[in-house]
Amino acid sequence: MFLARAGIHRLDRLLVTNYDEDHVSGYPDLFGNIMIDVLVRNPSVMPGTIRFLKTEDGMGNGIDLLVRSIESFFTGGAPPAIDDFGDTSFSHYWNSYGLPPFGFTDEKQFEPRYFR
Amino acid sequence: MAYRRSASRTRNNLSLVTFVKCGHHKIIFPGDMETEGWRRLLQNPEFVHELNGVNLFVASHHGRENGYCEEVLDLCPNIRGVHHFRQEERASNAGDSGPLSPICEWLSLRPGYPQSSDYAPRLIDAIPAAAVRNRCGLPRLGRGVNRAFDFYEYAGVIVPGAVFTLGLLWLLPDSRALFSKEGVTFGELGLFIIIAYAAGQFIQGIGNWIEWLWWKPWGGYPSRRVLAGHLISADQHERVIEALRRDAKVRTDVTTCALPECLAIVREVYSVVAAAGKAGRVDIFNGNYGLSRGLAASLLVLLLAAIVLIKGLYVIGALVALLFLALQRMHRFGTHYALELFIQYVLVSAKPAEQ
Repeated sequence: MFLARAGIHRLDRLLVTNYDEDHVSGYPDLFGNIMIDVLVRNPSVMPGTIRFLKTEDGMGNGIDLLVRSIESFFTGGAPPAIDDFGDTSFSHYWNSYGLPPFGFTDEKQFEPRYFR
Repeated sequence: MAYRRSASRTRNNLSLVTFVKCGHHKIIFPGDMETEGWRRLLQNPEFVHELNGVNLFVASHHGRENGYCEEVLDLCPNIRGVHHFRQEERASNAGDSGPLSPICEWLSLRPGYPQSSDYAPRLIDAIPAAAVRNRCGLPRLGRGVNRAFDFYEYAGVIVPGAVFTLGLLWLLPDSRALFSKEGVTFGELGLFIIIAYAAGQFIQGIGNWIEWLWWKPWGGYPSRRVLAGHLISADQHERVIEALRRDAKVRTDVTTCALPECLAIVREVYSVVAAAGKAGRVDIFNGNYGLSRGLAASLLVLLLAAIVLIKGLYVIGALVALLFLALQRMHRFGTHYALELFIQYVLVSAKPAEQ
């Protein structure tokens, strides 16, 4: 476990860029060993939608645990009280999900949402 | 099959696009965003505005053709580097067999932009060293705030301050409540060092009076005595005077000059020795002199406190003995300091004549 060996046992933010196994294959290892304060992801995509979009490809271990932890752990709530990273700042943009099979339908952006 | 392609494309276009800004650096992480998703995002004026100033572009979808969107790159005039996460994924895509990813091709066609060979293979290499040094994410501390203590500050200020603080804690049992009984935590250690540093500064103030009093019966400060011809041989003294007349253009009689003038000469002598890189031993003697003087001052204050608090004769006797030892060390290191300083000065100033 790279982070634990480096003495990092807690993450302020974990950013999930997209719901593909190659982007979250290390998630079970991370989730099991590191305290993750906040998960940042495209909030317009419901866990059920990820399952639906993965019907054909199949769910890998990473995506499976991610979906389950979104359902039971990072369920939303008030944004973190302290959002100060010194001279570093983050901004997030995403396309919102519409009903399949039409794909995403709404390009409207929201304020970044955090899931705790 | 059509559904599968569509579902995969939909997933990619739902990628989270993150901009990380750190100092002068702005990095975009677009996940696996595809062309269609980029174009939707471009309809958001805030997103368009955000693209301006990006100087490190992480290629979307590992640099694949379907992650490329020229309109987005046109809005990023300050790109100085491109990074591909796991580029081998791109190679596995049958549609993209060219040696360069489309984003690299786009950059290579633009004069003034970094050429493909310049692209950093690892993201960490692409981020300028300054950003890494500043440890993106941590508030910057001014250099003066987080600097390290040098030898003199450790030996001459913190150690006497710590001795004084511990001595007070020992003499005044009530003040021990400041620190927990079960060991010392990291925070308390930090607090203790701060208190010791502050106490050390005051203690050295007392130390200055002690040294003024101490050296009086011996005929003044050791450096002044060296200048007056004591502590060194007549031959060495002659060479010191000669060097001062030749290099420092000193015209006054250094053997009888006033104290401020004498201290000014000593400072000049030290700067000549330090500039020649020969001040190592001089600095060590100076640090140890400061340590002994500080310890003598702490012990003197503790001795007075012990007398006021009517501690036992043993305590007072032990403090007197320690004070005497500290004064003896102070005397010794003070003499060594002056001798070493002037001997080095004679050697340094003699060198040009030899060459």
